[in-house]
Amino acid sequence: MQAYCAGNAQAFDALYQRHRGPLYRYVCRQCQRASADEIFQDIWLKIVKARAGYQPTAKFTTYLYTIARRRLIDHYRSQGNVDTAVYDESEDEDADTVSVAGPLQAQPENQAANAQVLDQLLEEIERLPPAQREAFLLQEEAGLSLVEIAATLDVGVETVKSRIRYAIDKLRKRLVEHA
Amino acid sequence: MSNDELQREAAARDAPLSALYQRTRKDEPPAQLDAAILAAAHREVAAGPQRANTSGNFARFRMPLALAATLVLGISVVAVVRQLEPRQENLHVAMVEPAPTESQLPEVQGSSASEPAPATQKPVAEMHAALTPPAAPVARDRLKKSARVQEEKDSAAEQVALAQPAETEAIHSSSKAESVPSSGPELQLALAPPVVVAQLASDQAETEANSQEVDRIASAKSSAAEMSAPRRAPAAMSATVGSEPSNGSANRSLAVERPAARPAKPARALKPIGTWLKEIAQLRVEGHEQEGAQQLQLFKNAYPDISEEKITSSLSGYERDWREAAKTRAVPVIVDEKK
Repeated sequence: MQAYCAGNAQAFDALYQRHRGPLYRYVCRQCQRASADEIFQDIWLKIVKARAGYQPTAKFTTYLYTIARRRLIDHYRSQGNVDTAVYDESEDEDADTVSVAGPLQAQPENQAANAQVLDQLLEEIERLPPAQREAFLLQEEAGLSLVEIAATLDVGVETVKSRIRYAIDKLRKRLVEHA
Repeated sequence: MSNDELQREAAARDAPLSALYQRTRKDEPPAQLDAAILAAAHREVAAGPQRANTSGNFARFRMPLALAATLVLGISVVAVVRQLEPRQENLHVAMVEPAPTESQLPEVQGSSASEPAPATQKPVAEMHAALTPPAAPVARDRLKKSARVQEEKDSAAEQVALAQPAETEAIHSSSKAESVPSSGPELQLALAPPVVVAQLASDQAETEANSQEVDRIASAKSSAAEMSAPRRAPAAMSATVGSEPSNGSANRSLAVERPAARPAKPARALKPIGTWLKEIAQLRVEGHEQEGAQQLQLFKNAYPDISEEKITSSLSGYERDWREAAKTRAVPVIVDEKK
């Protein structure tokens, strides 16, 4: 990103190729496909416009997904279905009723041959509470560490860890139920 | 990353589920979307450096520029205010007692049409100007006192006019004949109420105190100032006669009383040179050319040792200052509309 800020357009190409897929899926998993393209383009255009004032205070991935998250929240608000409470810790408290992680009774990878399982997994991800879903996606898609996710979401590391655990438990439980 | 963090990462990640999720990662952005984003990025780079530098320079110098502008404005305002303060006080001094000439006397003249008043009105105005004290605090005090006393003078003048028409007629006849010019002030003092007499006495004391600096010159030149004193009394008397006792108009009372009260003051007090020249300049700027010329002539008579060239240059400077002051602020004209 610093090379691009210095005027190297090829640096942006490399940056874009590295992050385009994960970011696109991160956006797609949290909104409708029709809106995903627009949001995805807006995110990158913001990166481009912010070139002059960019200050490398954190990892670029953290910076990129922070912008993406804010753009998604704006999208939720524009749709009128934003519920900031879904980002509260109350969602985690509700998740206490979910059985804690245990050994999978049926290993998901054994059933992966069936594409239906993958579709089921994506549906279950969409059904996750937003706070847990975005933490899970930041870990799986963006490859961020717990600390980086905490910085992106502006919460504590333990909170991130808790959200991811609850998300995994729910996914496992529902996949097993469908199996 | 420390061992604790690695353990936390491992505990937070579910390997089988993560592997399963990795198989779903097939979605990619459309090619046209990629092209649009990359084109926008390249355009920004092509047009970017100037904008980035411009905004950077502006952001860098914005705060110092704002501070400098604020300082310059503040200092300018303070300097202008300090420069204009003394002028404003001079304006007050000059405007405290305007000469009752064309604007006030015609009504009085109309009632006594046979009077040859114009010859006597101008000296009255001149003596008003000559007796105006130069110091601003004194002028303010006098303004307050004169406003308070003027009401008493008006009511007293009406009473006197109503109660003693005989004396008024006597004054009228004597003014027509102009036989007793020096008796005007004394008669006016006799007709005035005690408060007016006290005011006149205090005015005289103030004038004497303020004119100590010019007494030396005034004593030498007193003959020139006293030359106008005998002509002043008939003017006051004719004005007094002009006011109709039965009507008792407040406007006429003001026009009558002011010139009538002035003759009690001694004529030996001369104004300082600067104040006098400023007043002449003011008269000229305001269009009173005739009065200005008369004042200038009086000034030359009073100070013959001042060269014509010096007077002209001083007058032009004061006129310029007066015009600038009139442009920048409204000149307070103290006219008692009520009366």
